Amino acid sequence: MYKFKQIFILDIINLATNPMWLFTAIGFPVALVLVLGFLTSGSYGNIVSAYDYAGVAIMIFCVFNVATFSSNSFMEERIKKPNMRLVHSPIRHFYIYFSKILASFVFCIVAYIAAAIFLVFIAGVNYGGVDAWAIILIMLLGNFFFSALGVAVCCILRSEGAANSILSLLFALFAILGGLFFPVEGLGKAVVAISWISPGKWILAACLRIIYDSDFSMFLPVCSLFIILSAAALALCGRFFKGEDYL
Amino acid sequence: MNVFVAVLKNNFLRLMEQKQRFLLFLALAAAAIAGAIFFNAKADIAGNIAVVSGNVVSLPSAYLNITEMEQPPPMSELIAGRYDAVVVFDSQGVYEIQTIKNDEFKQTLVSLISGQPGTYAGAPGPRGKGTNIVGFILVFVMMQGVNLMFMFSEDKEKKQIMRIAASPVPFAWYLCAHSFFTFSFLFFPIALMLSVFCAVPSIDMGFGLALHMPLVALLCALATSFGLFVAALSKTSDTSNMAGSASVALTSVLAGSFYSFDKGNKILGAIIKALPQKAYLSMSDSLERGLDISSWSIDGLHIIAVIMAFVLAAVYKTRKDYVKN
Repeated sequence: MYKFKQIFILDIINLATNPMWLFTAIGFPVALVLVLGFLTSGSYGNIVSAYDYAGVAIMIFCVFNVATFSSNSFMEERIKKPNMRLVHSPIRHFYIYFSKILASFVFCIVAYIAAAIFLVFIAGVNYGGVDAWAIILIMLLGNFFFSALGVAVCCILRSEGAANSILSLLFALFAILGGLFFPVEGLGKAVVAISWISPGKWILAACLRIIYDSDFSMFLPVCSLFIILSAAALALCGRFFKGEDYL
Repeated sequence: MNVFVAVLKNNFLRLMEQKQRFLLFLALAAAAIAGAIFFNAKADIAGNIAVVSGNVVSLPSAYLNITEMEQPPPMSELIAGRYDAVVVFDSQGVYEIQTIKNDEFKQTLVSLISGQPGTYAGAPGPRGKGTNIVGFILVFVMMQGVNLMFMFSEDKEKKQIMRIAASPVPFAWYLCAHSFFTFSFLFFPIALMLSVFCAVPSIDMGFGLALHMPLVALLCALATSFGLFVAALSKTSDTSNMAGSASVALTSVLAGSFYSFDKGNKILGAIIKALPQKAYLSMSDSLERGLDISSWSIDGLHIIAVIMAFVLAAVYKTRKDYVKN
């Protein structure tokens, strides 16, 4: 365990000392929520504000983006060489990629919770009051899955740039379809049916039901889905991570 | 000229090493065009209304999309935008409106229910189909523009550019070749796709191929120049990719490439107006409405100016970084 702890601490330091990452993890969600909320606030009344929708939807979009953090922390140029040494040192390969997954997970969850708390105070975003624990749990599990996904895609494609660009395009599509940038449900039955393709939609629906109806019917399915998918992503990492071959 | 061809050839071989970057873009662009054809079927409806009533109540439904139900829908479906309002009638025919929208919308609804048609003036003139299509592909083309510049970023990241700068290669040709390569790999696939879609007679593409082509060419030029600009500013291809996609996502959503924020606030309006995507969309809109050149030439010039500014800034920055006078 000592060996794992050492790698993990270094990975965390690598992430947390990069000003670019810090900005993207905290500044980006806050800026996007404030701007989108501000833009759409005109059409909302005073029961629910535009920030309430954007605050939840954009957070889900940011949870998607954890994958780009983890793929960066795994295969960034300056990380590759130290990883190469780790591959040849007498530790289990599992430690190498799992510590990256865990580090991005911890880094992002801390950053996003900071962003969410900031949003609650600045824009009064409603995260469900007493039910907020459920929202946080969904976000936590989602964070972990997307973190594992980023590394898994890196292992499969063996190129961080390709993994990143593919994932960001895919996430943009999911976000639009799932109504993370603007509500799509009002655009007709066909669109609603298509929108269920997007995982963003499932998470958004689960969160909105919990926050506004105290309806937990989608809570367990979404959580267990994330747990299963995380296990699958980890299995993919194990299957495709072939030591020095991956660099 | 030799340099130009050499860089193109080299770029092509490098891209073939990473086909996924390109193939996914093709799939997404096709999906975006297909999505746009689907999405704007219902642009001119004021709202989706859920009606809860014991007896049958007839509501004027020209502007309203009415769903009758036994129980009011849960609040989350209002938030998600499935229904814009819930109208609950009691047995006496007195109704109560529940909505999260603003008072203006509520007033419109009241007047529509009480049978005063024609008072609805809410929706901004629905965007044409052609504009919707270009709006949808806009964000993907811009992202791919950043993405395809990865070879330039890689040259910088791996210090190859130092050797190029030291060699008797004209720097302008080198940048020009990268831009040309990105432009062609954006333009030709999209143009081909649009031609295929236009060739199917049952699909309404908004406007013809003769108008789609120059618009897409302009969009690809914008995406290329933006990609070059971002790549020139950032040190590694990771940063350029992340910063580029994040800013493209943000600005395109703001510019209303998917969803028009015409009812938004005035303050940000000025900032949004400065976005080239906004100019592009309004230019496409004017063209689709068949307005004459005076109404869209400003937008066109705006986009060209932005393209020039991106290119000049990129060339200046790269020369400053790598060419010692």
